[in-house]
Amino acid sequence: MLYQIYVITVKELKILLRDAAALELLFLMPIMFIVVMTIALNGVFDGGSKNNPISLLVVNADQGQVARKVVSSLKTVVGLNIVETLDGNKLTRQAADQLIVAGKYKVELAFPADFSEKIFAAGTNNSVPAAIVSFIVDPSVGNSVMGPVRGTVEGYVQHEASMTQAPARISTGLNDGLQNVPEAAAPALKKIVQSLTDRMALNNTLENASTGVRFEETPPVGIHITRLPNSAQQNVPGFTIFGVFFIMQPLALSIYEEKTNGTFRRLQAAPLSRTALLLGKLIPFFIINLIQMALMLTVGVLAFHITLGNDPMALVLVAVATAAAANGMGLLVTALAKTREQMSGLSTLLSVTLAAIGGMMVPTFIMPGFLQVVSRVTPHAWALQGFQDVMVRGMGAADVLPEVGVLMGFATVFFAVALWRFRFE
Amino acid sequence: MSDTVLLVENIHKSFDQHHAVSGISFALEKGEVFGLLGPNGAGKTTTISMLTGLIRPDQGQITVEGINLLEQTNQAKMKLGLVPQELALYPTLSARDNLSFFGQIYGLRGRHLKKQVEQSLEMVGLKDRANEAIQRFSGGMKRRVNIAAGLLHQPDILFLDEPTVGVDPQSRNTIFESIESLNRAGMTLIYTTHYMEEAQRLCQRVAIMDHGQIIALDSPANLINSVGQGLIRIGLNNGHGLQVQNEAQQLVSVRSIVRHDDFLDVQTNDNQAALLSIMEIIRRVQAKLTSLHIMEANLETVFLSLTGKTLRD
Repeated sequence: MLYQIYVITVKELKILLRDAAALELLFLMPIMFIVVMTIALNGVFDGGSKNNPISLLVVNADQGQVARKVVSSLKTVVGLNIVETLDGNKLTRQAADQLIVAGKYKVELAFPADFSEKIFAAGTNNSVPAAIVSFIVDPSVGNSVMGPVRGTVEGYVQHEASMTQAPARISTGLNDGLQNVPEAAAPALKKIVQSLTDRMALNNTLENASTGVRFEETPPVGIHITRLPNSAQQNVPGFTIFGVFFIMQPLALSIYEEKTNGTFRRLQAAPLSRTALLLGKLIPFFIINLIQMALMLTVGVLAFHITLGNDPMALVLVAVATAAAANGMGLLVTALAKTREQMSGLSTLLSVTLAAIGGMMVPTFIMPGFLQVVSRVTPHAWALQGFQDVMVRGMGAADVLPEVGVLMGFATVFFAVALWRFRFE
Repeated sequence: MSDTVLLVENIHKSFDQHHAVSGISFALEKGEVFGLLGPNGAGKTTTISMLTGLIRPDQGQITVEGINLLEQTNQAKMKLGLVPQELALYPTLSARDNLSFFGQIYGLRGRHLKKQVEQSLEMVGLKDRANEAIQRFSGGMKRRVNIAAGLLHQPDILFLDEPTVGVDPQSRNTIFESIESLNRAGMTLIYTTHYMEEAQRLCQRVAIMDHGQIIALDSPANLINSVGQGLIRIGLNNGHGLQVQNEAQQLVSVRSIVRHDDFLDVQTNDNQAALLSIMEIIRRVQAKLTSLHIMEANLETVFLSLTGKTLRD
């Protein structure tokens, strides 16, 4: 029996070794995955570090000095890249919002003109309106990235506000206390100290002493959403696209089976054009892709309460273009791979690697610069941007035409190359 | 009015410097069963592929009932049917579903499609198992469905590419009977095979192919007559082959002698007379006889006389 096992093992190895391309893919796939994921995920673990700082647009309209001091402090933070000017000009709210809408930056910090004024006022009067610090955020940015940034900024703002208000609070406290001096000295002094400490909030009541600063998070002008997205809203598009491109393998194998069982030859002997033959093979998979996307988004809506944006037509356009690109890539795999093993290996390699590079698993904006450039050469990145524009940024059909156009361009190129290389015999 | 339904003029096809088909020409008459006989690798399947429009010849013309196959391909293909060598069926679909699909590809619809499907199933004797998946059929049954799929659209010319490969004798006979029945009904058929008994039984004319060329084309009877009573293959050594050949060539009972390496292929008018005379020559010149085969006249011996090898070599 052992000998028979050995003989069968040797036979299987011989067969495998005869398909060198399939073997290469089997080994290449995990290597690619490790390399790509390590580089891409480097952004997650290294994001906000010296090597990979997070860029923060700062719009400082403050007439006073408080915001300037905060910004100066933020510039010393390792892992943050403060951007105050654009082409030599100081950033305005409008310009900064446009940069975020265009996808060039993800986060903006804005100080209003009366920021310092309100900070000072809050030092002596708790009932003045709060000084508002605005975080303007691309809705597609997850909390895992925003959280540390927001925490750092809030910390510096609160610190600066406290330090700014401290003299006023001390002065007010002393004045209140000194009013009691004509009475017996000891109790009066006690009252002074008590008043002072209350004002300075030194007895662990710091959290109760308001600096009069309020933080708010909003999308930029140009992005219309009724509520900020939750993590499902941000993740469902990515996983949907990830699933869609897995259509490559069944599509490729279906055509391969048709060739190997002889029916392809019989169909070519029929009065049937090659275009009709291929379209007839592709359309079912295209339909499956559309149903896939509808199903996944439905699950997202019902189970995780995601919203699908404001424009159903925009969603349909992106979905159709994504399915076209996925099917084109599937036909390309069929044309390039010659054996079943090659088809399986190549389709899995492309599905996983392009998904990683395209931002399905890790946001592209925290990937290293060169990988961000590479991601733009994947249909996945454009599909993700399209879905997020609609579902997360509330954009409409006209706004997603560029992404739809690029995806259809990918589909066209894939089909063209596939037809050029496709062997009908 | 010409009864030529298929005209093949000087077709060539090469794959990566290998000449699979080199200059084949013939004309097929209406109602004929035309055989392409040759060993594996002779170019039969490549020829059929060109004649059915699967691949384009590198040069040459193919005309189907006056229609140029290379220019009006789909129009010509409607007149052709193919029963490929491999079982070209969808294994998980039933026989009926397979036939319906292929019928629809040829433009059959509705009641006409249904009628054709049922008639085809009847003809191949599988009506009672029409709803079973093909993968559950025996090899012979699959072959029969394979034939039925080529007939659905009632082609004028049916190509059968080695339809009995791997088939049990009972199914083989059923296939032969189907082909004969189709021909009696007026269908024109091209039948490729490497079994000479099939070609002899079914075909009115046979083209013998080897190395991509037709080396003989005639009725089976005429081809067989060309080798007289048969073939005697005589193995000799010690270098007397040429001398024996020259002397035996003068015998009245000998039609022709072809010398191949260490043996002589002798076509005779009279096997017995020729054999006795040649044995006497061998004895006289002191040649050494190593082997002796007497083969009756059939297509196998025709092929042997033309190429020096058997159909199964």
